[in-house]
Amino acid sequence: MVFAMGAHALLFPYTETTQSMRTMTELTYMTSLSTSVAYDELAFNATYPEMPTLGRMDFIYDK
Amino acid sequence: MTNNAFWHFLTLQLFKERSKHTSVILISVMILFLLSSVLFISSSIRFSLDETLKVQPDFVVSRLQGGSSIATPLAWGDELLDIYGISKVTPRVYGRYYFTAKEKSFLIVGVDFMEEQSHERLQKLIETTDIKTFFGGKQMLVGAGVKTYLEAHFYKSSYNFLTPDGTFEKVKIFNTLPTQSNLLANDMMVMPIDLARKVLGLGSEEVSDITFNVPNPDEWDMMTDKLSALHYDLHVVNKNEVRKSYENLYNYKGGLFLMLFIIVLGTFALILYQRYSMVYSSERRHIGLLRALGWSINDVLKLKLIETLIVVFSSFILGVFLAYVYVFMVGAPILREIFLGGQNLDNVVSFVPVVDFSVLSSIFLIYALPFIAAVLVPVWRVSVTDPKEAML
Amino acid sequence: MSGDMMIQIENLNRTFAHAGNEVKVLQDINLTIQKGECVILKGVSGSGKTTLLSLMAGLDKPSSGKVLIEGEPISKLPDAFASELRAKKIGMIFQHFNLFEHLSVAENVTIPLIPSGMKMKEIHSKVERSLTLANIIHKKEILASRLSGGEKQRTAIGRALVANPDIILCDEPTANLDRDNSLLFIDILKELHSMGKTIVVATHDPLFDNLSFESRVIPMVDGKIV
Repeated sequence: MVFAMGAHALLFPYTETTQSMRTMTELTYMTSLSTSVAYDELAFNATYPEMPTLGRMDFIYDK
Repeated sequence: MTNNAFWHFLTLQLFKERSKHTSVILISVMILFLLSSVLFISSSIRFSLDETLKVQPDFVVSRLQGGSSIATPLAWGDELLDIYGISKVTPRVYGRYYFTAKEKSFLIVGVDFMEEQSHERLQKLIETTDIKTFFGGKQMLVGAGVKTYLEAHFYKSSYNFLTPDGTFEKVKIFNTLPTQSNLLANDMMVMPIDLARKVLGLGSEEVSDITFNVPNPDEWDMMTDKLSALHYDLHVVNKNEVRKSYENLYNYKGGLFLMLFIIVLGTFALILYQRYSMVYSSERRHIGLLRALGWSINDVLKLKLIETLIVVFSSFILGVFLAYVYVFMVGAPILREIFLGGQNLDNVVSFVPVVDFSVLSSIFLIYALPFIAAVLVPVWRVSVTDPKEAML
Repeated sequence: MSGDMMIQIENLNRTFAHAGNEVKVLQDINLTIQKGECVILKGVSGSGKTTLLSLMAGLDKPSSGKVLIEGEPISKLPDAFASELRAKKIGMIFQHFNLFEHLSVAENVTIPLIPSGMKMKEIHSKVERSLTLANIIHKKEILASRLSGGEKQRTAIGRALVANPDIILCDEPTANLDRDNSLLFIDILKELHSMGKTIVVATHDPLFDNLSFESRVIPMVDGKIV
């Protein structure tokens, strides 16, 4: 089991995956995680749009 | 006493009392699986976030009015360039477009494709496509989640945006953004900056906010004060604050789980303790019998300790392995919604395998120590009791 | 001579606390058992014979007095020594057999030898010998839960004999056996007696009143030797 985990981790295309996201950020200059929470621009959010979830509890309860 | 005969007897005890150990192992595996899964998802997202924050601009300035963000004047960019220590000033145009009122929404991001670097980056992102054709009309690149959603609503090749001035803007879907970037791009629509302005209702001299770099980290603290002095309604955020905010969120979610885990583990340990302490339990009689047959207290404790360690290690390895497979090979269906949500667009993210050994060691210690104590303390108490009383 | 004395009991008392009262289960017991002797502790239920046997085996501690096994005060020994004494010198046969139901006959008989540090090969040969003596070798792979009362008793005998102890203590050995099996048990006791083992049996079974081999009956009433 440990061997299987190790093999998978070694063979995983880290560079490809992280490079894709880095290029996305370089293109858009944004690091907004596509997390599905309350996208509420009305509530004061110090880190919007990078962090649209701050200050809201909607990610815990249903909409 | 740990000779071949001891190991032989230990093996017998483990296999012949399979049902007793199986239930304990199953519960332990379930608890460890859940906790490890949550921690794996959290570490993976954090890793991905850290990787992208490395190339994210250092600062973002925006305009606030009454506590809300409003359009930022493009002219502020020129003022920023005049400040010593600031470089690479780039305006951003983006915003939320609601497909249906208060339902699904997309993140529209405008990119200035006049910049040479944008061409290179775009080509890097979508290697197989000739991007020259992208600039030939009103076209956009969409995230995988957007593509799926639009197709489900019969928008297969284009979409008509309703702009704030009441007109419709038909934009063709050129291509889908790579799925490896789903963590960021799942709900994105990337289009030329002027088109984004039109759809979002921003004027030609307006942007959503402005980013820039401050290469000297020692100047970061001072920069916030400098900038705040520029305009009363200027709001500054640096990327460390963004990182901290995400960490707080994931620590909070992870912390909730840790709390739940501790409660469940505490209950489990209590149950185990009860089982060994019960006056009429078979465990108690077995220990008394071993003592009566000439086993010393140390012999009994050694047997039970090693038996418990085997159960603990087996459960831990199995639990972590299953969590690894579930998160990094299967994509953590259901559980990923806790971090990625499920209220907006469905997101299929390929989590980057990140195994934080310090966290795993902590999980092991938090799980193993109470477990071992819950078993050994009553075993010791029974062992030091006179065998006759223990066998009652 | 003290060299021939296997078990010595001096001024032994055992008191239990029950519902706030003190219950004297054994009162001023003085007893000497010679090497190779067979002693029957006779008495009804509650006479204290089982308690006396437990104290001789070191399974219980006296409230006062001494139990000496070959001159060693068993109740005062540190745990490691007391356990070794129990493992090597004393073989105990319990009233309810007290077998590990999930283990086989052979596996049950192995248990007293495990702490000794013996190699598996040596343990196997001792177990085989013991099972043959107890006449249960043909059932050695059978799970204890599948044995009849008589077979369980013979497994318990095998376990008691495996370390070749000098002393065999039996607590109501025929209480859960039919007459035929009880007689079979007495035959095994006779054989053990002929091997020079010191045997103590706590029982109220009248079959032990007139044994065909030399034995001493010690009647007990209300925690005292009559």
